[in-house]
Amino acid sequence: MNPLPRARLSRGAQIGLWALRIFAIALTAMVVYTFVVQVA
Amino acid sequence: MTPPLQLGAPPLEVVDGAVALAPSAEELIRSRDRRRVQDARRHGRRWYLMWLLVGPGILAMLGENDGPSMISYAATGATYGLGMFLPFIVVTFAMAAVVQEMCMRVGSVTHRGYGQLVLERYGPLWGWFAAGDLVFTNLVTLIAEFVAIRIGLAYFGIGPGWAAVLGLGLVLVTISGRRYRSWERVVLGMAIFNGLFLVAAVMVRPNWSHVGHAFLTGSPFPGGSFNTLLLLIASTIGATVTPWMIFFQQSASADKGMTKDDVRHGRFDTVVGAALAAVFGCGALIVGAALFTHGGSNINGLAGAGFPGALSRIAGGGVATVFALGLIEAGAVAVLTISASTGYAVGECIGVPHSFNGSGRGSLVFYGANIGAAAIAAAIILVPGAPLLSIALNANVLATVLLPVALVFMIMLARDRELMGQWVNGRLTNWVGVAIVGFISICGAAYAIDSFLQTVHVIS
Repeated sequence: MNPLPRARLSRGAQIGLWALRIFAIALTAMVVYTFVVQVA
Repeated sequence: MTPPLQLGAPPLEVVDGAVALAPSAEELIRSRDRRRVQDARRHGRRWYLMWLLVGPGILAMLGENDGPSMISYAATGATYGLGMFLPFIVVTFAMAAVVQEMCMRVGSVTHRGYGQLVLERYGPLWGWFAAGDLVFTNLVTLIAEFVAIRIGLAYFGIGPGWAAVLGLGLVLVTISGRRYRSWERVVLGMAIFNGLFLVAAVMVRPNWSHVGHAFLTGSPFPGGSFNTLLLLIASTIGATVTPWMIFFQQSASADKGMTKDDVRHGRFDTVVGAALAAVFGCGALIVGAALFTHGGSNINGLAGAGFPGALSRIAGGGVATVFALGLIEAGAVAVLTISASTGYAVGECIGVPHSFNGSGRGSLVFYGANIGAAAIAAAIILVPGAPLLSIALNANVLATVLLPVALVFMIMLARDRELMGQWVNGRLTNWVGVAIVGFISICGAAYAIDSFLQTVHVIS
């Protein structure tokens, strides 16, 4: 299969995706920290 | 009618200046499966056509009725009884049906898995982020699946070593056919036994008028600790819509060779899967609710044989046996589907063959990731003193927290007109998708932040 052309994302969409990414990583860190403290 | 090899999109090779078709063994196998579909369609054999095309949707939905999900539903019933969570399970599976329909449609139209599409359309960074999230949550979830098998076997006095052997053995046996179709049919056959939770629900003889009242009114609304309630809401969402389902159904639809012509059947497959999963999930909650007035909220021995043992004392040995068998099935099917999604994701992002139809050295990465993920999880449950209960309970929450990113990309792909053509999302589907992302984000964030603030003693 031929590779698809890259989609053009607006600057706003890129900022939104990065904000969501950072938000998800922060929440994951909180869940993992809480889990580690509970186990310890 | 679509010619069989056109969908597999065989690579074009230039040999001595001439362009020659060079279909791989994987594509030849897929084309044979497609020929059956085309023959059934040509001869108007509607039920046979349906039988040939169902699979990815039912497997994604019943695969997600996995060990930690069923334990979570039963724990919810034992803690709060019948009430808000009964209709909530139905609502979450309706959300899952909307999301999974998009996955099936995108996979059928583009013939590509989710990881491959994200990587090609939005770049390697986002593709690897998606695959990284998936591998992380899949490893945690797989551990939880082995815990569920271990709980079920423990009720029959069988040790944890056999749980590891059973789960890993099933992965090896099901992939040994080297055919997507045989893998799918074997796992579908196993997944039907998810209905054991419905059998157990009937056996506990609930008051059906109470069940109907709870279902229609969502009352009584659960009381008690706000954090526990948030945990159960986040767990229930994580028990119905997860990143692995997105990867699995889109990749499996592509691996099965589904096309635009099959979207209608794919929708049926997805909706039937969601309906079955909702009914069986409600069954697990009803079984758990039988313990509600018998100190159900204090059943902490889930890492051993707490739930089946408690059911045995309250509802009888028959119910406990069916519930324990259900847990073994739920864990086993999920081990197969989740390790498959790991194989698809890794293969798609590395850019190597990623199909159950594949064989030989080219498919080593796909099969290696498939087996490797299950083997790591199996090894962890054998570690003495490992916090298996905490892992099992946090697996769904972790999936809920990481889900919004995967969902946003899914919606972006499904509304991409350049990619999807006439099969692009309608406006209503887009808005429903955005509402689902918003709802899941708020629920996941509320639990994560509330738990974290309690842990660091900012709130009590």
